[in-house]
Amino acid sequence: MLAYFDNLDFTVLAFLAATLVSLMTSYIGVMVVLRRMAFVGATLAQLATAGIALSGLLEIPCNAGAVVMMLLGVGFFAQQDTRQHLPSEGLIGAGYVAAGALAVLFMALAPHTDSDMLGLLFGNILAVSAQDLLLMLAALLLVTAVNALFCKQFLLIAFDPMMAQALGYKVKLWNWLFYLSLGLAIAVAIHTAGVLLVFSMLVLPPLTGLALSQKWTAVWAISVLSSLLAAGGGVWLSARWDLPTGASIIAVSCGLFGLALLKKRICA
Amino acid sequence: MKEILQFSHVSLGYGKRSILKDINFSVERGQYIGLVGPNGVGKSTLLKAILGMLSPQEGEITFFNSQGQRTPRLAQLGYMPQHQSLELLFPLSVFDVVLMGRYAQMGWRFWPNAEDKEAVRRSLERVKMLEYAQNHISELSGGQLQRVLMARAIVADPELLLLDEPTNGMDLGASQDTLSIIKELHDQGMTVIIVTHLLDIVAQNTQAVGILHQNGEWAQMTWGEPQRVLSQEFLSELYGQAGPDAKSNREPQKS
Repeated sequence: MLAYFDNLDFTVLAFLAATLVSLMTSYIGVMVVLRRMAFVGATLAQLATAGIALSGLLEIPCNAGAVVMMLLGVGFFAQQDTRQHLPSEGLIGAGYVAAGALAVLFMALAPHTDSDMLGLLFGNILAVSAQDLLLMLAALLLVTAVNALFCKQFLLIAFDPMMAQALGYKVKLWNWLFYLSLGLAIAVAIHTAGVLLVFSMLVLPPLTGLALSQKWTAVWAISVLSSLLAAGGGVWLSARWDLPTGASIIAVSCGLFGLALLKKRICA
Repeated sequence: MKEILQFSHVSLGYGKRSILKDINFSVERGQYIGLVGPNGVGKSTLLKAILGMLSPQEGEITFFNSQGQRTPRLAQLGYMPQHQSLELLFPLSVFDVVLMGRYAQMGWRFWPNAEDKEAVRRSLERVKMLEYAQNHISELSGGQLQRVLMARAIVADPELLLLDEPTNGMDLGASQDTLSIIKELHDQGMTVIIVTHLLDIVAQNTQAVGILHQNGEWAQMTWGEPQRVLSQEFLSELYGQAGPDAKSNREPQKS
């Protein structure tokens, strides 16, 4: 299988990578947006970036560092208690800037050039390898399976945690599982897609779905479909006009969201 | 009548801080119980303990199944929260929300079968909300949303129904409708615990009342028949001139 992907043109690999990233993040992104966790997603993405930079410093596989930092972030956010005396937005912001600073510091200490920083921020989809692709495919299958299998549980603990408790669900454990699946999706996608693309795919396609529908399954379907359109359209624009691929995908996704808002306004 | 729930010398709180001390009461199957008290006294804390969200710092909370045997939790516990705690942005219809009450019966299935749909339909019919089944939850008034949450609480035919301020946000007509639905459920054999700060509701409907009141640093409960514990003399003795609506600054969240 690896040999098959190795023989594909780099633009095809880029399109496949963009598709896998979009599918993975837009699927789980619906719950992220509804749970008002968008900036938690951004902070986890930034932590994964710091992890990749740490991997460069320690000269270990980049995904190892991303996973370790991700687990730290997941552990922190999944344990958050609503009775704490500090506002959660502030804590998320603190985590975001801390992770960003760590990424820069690790990069400065590692023997790399400045252009690698841009790669971390915006990703480098055009340089995706067959191995990266297979890893993303495995992660996509796992994340989708977990979120599909436990869709009811994740929905209930997000919508009404007290009701979930009354029905006997261990809310903290389910929260952990959700955060772990989100962390895995981000950790695997970040090296290829970068912070901005991962964050935008967590947020924009779900918002497009919510703007166009008030039915649960339709929101998911629209989120995934719009992310696929953004991936395909963005890669095409990038190849056609020699534009940065990640930014092109984000721009198409923004455009789709804008159209959805326009449609919502017209129908209202 | 057999017991379904028992609190024995239970103290409740958060961390090292106690909110409620030495709470003793038992609920028998088929009873209609009221738990009252001023804002902040500990009603939410007590509710969380019954729901299993909070372990007692001292004492024991015991459930009994229909055979009278001790059990760590009831097979079916119906709970109706205050609707202000819900996130109405979720793309959910009334049907979707009520179906949540059947998730334990659905197991691994995501899609409802005929039995689930029929249970939801019956439940919505009982609370007079069947015509709104396909409406989005954000389209409902506060009173309508409360009725949907009641439908969700009863859809799985619970052994014990726990209601947190069920008439909150409702006008007089809607309140009366809700209370008569609750009375109907009780008449059909359901055990009901209603948590409220409205004494008249409890006085007119319940068979026993637990009044939470501050006693020094903590709150305690006085238990008894409504005629006795809700009399003016008793309440004056308990709460003084300020009355039961005097606020407590103990509990972090209002109930």
